[in-house]
Amino acid sequence: MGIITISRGSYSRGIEIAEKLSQKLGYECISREVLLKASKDFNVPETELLHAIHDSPSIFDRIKDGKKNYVAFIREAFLDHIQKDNVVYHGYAGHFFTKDIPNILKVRIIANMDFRINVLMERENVSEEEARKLLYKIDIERRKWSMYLYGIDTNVTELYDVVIRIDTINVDGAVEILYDMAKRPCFQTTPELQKKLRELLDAAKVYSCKSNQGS
Amino acid sequence: MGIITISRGSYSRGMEIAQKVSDNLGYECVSREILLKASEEFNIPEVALTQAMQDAPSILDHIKNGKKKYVAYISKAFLEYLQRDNIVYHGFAGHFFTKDIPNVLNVRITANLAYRINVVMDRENVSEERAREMLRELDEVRRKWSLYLYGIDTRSPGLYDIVLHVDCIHVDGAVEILSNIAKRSEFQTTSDTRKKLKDKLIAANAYSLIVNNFPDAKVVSKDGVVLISVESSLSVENRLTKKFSELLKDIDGVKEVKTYVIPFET
Repeated sequence: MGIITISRGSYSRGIEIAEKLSQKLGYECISREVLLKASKDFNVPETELLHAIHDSPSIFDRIKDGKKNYVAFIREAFLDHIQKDNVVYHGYAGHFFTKDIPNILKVRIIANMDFRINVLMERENVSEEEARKLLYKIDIERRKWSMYLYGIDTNVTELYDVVIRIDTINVDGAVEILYDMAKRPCFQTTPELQKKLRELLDAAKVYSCKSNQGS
Repeated sequence: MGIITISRGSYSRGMEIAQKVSDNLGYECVSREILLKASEEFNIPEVALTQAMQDAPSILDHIKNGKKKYVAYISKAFLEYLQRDNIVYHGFAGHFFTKDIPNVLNVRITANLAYRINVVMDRENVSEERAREMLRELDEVRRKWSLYLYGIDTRSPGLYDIVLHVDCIHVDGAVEILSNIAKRSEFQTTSDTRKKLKDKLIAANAYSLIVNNFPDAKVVSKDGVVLISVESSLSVENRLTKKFSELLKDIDGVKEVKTYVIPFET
């Protein structure tokens, strides 16, 4: 019984790891489901939510707090999903939503630039130069996004229990390491964790209700 | 058969983890031994070498290159140790010295601030306030040191194969996880690892012999062919080539010495 969040550097094969790990553990693997739920519950188009959680903040966001409101909706949907337990979440902001909550295994998957460029070139059929530019832009956006909303860079290792470099430890290796970690007593869901998650969800509901009224 | 370097955030119990991992794997655990070896070979007090590795660079270091010299000696001693294989090294700069060597497992052990403060209070018998201040100073010194020598922050996760946060998994959990990873095929020493380690040692050896006069020289070795790049006047290229060849002729494994002079900017 446990909850795992996987933060993945773009084009670092984090999705593949999340899917394989969830299969091995018999956990549910979620990502887009959280956005779909938030979209349905708050009647906001999924693309807008995706922009809120993906793009760096504009000047407009800073004035209107639009992004913050949308992120509050996504956070509520996320907290609602993980109440079920036995979940591997991969995607944006999981590590921020679960910061300082014990017993949740927080993972970051990274790769060196050459590895990511190769993955991107293969997947998107672009040149090396284009791939490099695109990754640079994505990394800057992510950094700005997390600094704006949480005041911390996603790359800071303190946010995670483990950071794995996928260009040296391959996908299957990473899955084995994470499976081993997920089975450890400190990453099992306890009654205290369940209570805390319920409280957080209740608080998130109040907050997003206020945000909804304010927006 | 393998090599593991463990970079440890101060007061994150990395030393204990390194010792237990080496016991588990039957590897040799080294740290201070490297400094002792360098101290003996180059006749420099151990305390001076420790300071070179530990303290942030002073203005004098920037001018006199004292730190570069000592780090060159330590690098040579370190790489000599690694030739033995089956080693767990814990301490400063292991991940820098093994950069670009395949199959070496580079690990970083960290812990959150609250955990580290507790360890400091426990070990040093100081107040929480003092422990916090000590850690802030230590972290800043380490950051400046690695930025000065290598242009990289030691805390950057991209330097390591795995970064483990020890406050939740505890020492024994980290030991088990790392021991299992070390047994994986991608972290077994291969003939390619040995070849690159040998070249790295040749380059470190060569640099340690010229660092006094050429602290900014770049030295690399490939299959025993040493290339020294140094900024100087073109007119002295031949003289330098002869000088370097003479200085390096007794290094084990050196087949040829090439000099590349980068002309001074005019």
